[in-house]
Amino acid sequence: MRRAQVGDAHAFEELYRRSAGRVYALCLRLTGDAVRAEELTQDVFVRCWERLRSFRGDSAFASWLHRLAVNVVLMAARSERRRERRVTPAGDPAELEGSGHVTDPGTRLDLEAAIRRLPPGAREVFVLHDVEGYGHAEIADVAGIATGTSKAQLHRARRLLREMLQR
Amino acid sequence: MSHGEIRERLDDYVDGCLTPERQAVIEAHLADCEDCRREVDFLRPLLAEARTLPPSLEPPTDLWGSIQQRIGRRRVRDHTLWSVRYQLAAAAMALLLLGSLLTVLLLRPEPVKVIATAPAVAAVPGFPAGWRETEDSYRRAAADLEEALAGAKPRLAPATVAVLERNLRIIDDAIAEARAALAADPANREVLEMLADMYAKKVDVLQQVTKLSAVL
Repeated sequence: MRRAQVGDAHAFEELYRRSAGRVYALCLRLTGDAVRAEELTQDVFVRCWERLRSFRGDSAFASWLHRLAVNVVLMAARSERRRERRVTPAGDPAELEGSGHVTDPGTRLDLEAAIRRLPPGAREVFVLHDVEGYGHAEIADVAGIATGTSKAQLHRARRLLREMLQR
Repeated sequence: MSHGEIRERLDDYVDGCLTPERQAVIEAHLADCEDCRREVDFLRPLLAEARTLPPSLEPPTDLWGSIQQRIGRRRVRDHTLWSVRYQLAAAAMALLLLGSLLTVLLLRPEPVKVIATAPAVAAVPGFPAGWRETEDSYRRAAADLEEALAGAKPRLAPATVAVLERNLRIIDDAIAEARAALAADPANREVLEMLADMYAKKVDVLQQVTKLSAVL
């Protein structure tokens, strides 16, 4: 860790090898997109490299990196949504809701696949709350939303998952 | 609580976020309500499964090569920026010293004359529009200063001349380094601003010298 903090790229590679799977899993579940997850995993480690000197060891490195990864993914998601809103008129909310549904009624999804099909806001809250164990106040803080919105998105995610998984 | 109110609290119930009183109310409702019971029977295993999803999934491709390239580029850029900052800080100190020495020099009975001579500086592709004119003005002003110093050198102690020459070299090196950094990264406003600031400081010293020479 100390060697990586003073700019040793080999030491940093070791940190990457130890943590890449954890970061990639988080990015994949939060985005629901394997290609985007790879790009964001790279972004997380580049940001980690830039900020490593500021890591003082007050928390475990894994927790520090996890929080950094959540911030990178949610920041990227927010700016992507802003960009999309600028170029795409707001659609019917029912259509967005429908985007989480399985197209083939005969298909039974596993949980990972069902999470990927959730709408972005609901997926992020479900992953952070139910998979990663964050509280609503923490989610509200990192995602820049109200606690009530976090609860509403979780309710929506669970309802959609029930519809998908019980088909 | 109505059936609807209880449905809204089932998430909090399965998450264990309710007071014991509210929990008891919901449990009493669940004993009688098949619909809510089915909801809870779905949610509990769902949450148990969510918590046991593998925390780590290997990326399909090794991402280290791309990460290494990106951090490598940043290291070079950061080093360049740091080096330019260091050089410009050294040059700023040198200018301060130079200004003081010239003030002392010009307060002597024989003022030095300022003569404008300077070759134009070569344009660098990608530099902001108008920057070449700014640099040319600076170069002419710098040449004036050097002429003035050349005329005054015979009256100065060799140690003073050595300090002056060393500090002029520092300034020139700083400017050359900043120009090289800008040539490599013309969009880098930070280096451009530092370079412009350096030019402005040097021109300021020259203006002070001109003003002093006019009153002597």
